[in-house]
Amino acid sequence: MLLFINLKHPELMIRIFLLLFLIVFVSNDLCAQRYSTRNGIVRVMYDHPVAGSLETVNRQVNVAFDVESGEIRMQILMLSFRFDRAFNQEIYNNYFVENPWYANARFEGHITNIDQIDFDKPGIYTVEVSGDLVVREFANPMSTTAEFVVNENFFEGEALFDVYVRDYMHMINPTSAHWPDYVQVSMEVNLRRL
Amino acid sequence: MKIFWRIILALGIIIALVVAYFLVFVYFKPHVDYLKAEVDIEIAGEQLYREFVDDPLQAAKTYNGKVLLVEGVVENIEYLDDMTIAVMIYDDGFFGKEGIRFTLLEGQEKYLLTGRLNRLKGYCTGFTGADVILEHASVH
Repeated sequence: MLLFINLKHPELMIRIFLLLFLIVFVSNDLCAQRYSTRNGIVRVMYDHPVAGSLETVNRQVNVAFDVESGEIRMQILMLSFRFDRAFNQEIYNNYFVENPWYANARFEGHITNIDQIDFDKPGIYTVEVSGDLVVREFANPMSTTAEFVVNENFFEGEALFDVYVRDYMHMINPTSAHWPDYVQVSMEVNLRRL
Repeated sequence: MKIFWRIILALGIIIALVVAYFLVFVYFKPHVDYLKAEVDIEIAGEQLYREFVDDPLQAAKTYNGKVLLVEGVVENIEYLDDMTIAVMIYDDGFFGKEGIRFTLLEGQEKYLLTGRLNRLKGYCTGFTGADVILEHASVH
């Protein structure tokens, strides 16, 4: 068929080649703007009135970042958090196994000052991130400051922020002393080009 | 009066035993040994992945928190800091190659046969939208 077009309509053949060239290179360029990791690290730290200080870590966090728009998407498997004590791990895991509709937490947001990052110039940038954090299907807006490092072929990101527990656990009695007011969350990501 | 103190002493001993039992067998109990853990469900890798893609909630109800024995071809092994991840690939999506990712227990990678059929046992923590994740995995 292509040979037939080539022989009969050379101008059309050139147009088809140009179109194919554009499709290949434009789609390549779009893909090149996305960076991601499947092994972002989220640490949650808090002071429990009874158990004392606790820390849990998840090293299976999916993060995708779009350079053009500044959009960030994150998927966190709740069962991938690891605790030091088996007792805490068991109680925590049982909750999310019995409530599978809460199996994933997610963040969807943007770097709001994306224009201040020069992606062609390696360096450390302070960025503003805001969006919605969804945990246990409760969505709440959040914003924080993060450190964003531009390297030759990859980006690194680090953020530290507080999450108010009662925003995601509405059934807690406001006067209850058994729950901390907030947990501190730290994030580390190493984003590679898709 | 003697009886009163005997009762107090007996109660004290009982309470101490209960507390000791709680601390030793509950609060400070060891983590699950996933190398020796019994398999809850045996399944082919592709079937597991397709079930999560087709109906994530139903698959989460069935597989999350279970010890699975998964049979499939390990296409790739990734090393990240102290983690070793074996990958079975079943699709090409937003994150590139997608499938099942097994975070291996220490020393298990030497038993893997890359590019060939393997049977991997691990604790299923769910579906990220791109991959099914199994942790504490070992080769069987």
